[in-house]
Amino acid sequence: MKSSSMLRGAQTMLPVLLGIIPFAMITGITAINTGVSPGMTMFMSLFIFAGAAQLAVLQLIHTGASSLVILYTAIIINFRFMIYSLSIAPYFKKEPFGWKVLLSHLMTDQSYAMSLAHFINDPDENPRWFYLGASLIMWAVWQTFTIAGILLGAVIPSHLGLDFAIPLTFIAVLMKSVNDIPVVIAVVTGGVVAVVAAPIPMNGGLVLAAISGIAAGALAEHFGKPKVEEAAHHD
Amino acid sequence: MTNSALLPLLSAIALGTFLLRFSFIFLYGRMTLPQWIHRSMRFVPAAVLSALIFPALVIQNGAPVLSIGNHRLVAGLLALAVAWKTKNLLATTLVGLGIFWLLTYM
Repeated sequence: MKSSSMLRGAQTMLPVLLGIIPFAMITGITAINTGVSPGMTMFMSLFIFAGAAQLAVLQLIHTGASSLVILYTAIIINFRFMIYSLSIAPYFKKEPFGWKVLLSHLMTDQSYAMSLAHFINDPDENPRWFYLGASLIMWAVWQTFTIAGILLGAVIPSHLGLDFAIPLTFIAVLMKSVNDIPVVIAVVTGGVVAVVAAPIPMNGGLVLAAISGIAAGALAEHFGKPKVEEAAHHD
Repeated sequence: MTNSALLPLLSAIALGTFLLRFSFIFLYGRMTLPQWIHRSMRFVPAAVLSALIFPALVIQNGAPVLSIGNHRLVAGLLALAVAWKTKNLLATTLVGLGIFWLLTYM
């Protein structure tokens, strides 16, 4: 039961790993090119374990930003984890403290989104082991290919555009959660606001876009299907 | 910034990031949230991922580029179509990367 849930979780992530491999390598390569030591690079990958924030931090180190600005930027970029935490929390409510710590630290966009979509579709799944399987394979691949990036240094030319694999992976993951009109409205709103609000300094646009998208989806559901809403009111 | 000066900064980022991830997984059950928040939660992956995807496709050098000359946008939209039709993650990523390379190097 445990191992089959874990295996299912890991298997679900296999197609996503294709996008993670270049992302992890780019993070390793960029760190070394920025002058960050291999030790500090691994420290980031092990303890921050959030690619988008790691790349932003490296960019800011490169431009000589102050520690406070770097810290703020990383927290804003990772703010989405708090919303993920809120949405996946019901599935982990019975876990002991240590498990909550472990499952929290291993959270990534991909393992979170794939797990949540799976839990909604399959209520009989064992959330702890499925999510652990999905997250551990992401973790192992992330660490392995960060090391590969450190070792390769500047060997891989940046003009290959391998960084483009990440939005593509997100597109694939996104489709797992699109199943009705309100979700489509959340997607469109989140995307449009993110582009329009991109000039807001310090990644403020990302937070605004996420909140707008969630609100638009919720409103569309509320006003679009009042009868279903009432029928489901006893939940 | 020297590597020794980086350690406290990176530790603070690591701690902050952990607390964001841990926040509600820890707090859930210790506090009650309004129903509308619970109902809104299923929109989180869609809204956040979309907010990460579209700027990456559209914005080039700080400004939105909505033209066929934007290879990332074209490849991304075609990947979106593939994802929609097939629901296949691997096909989506491969088609997107393939089209992007084709447009860039032809």
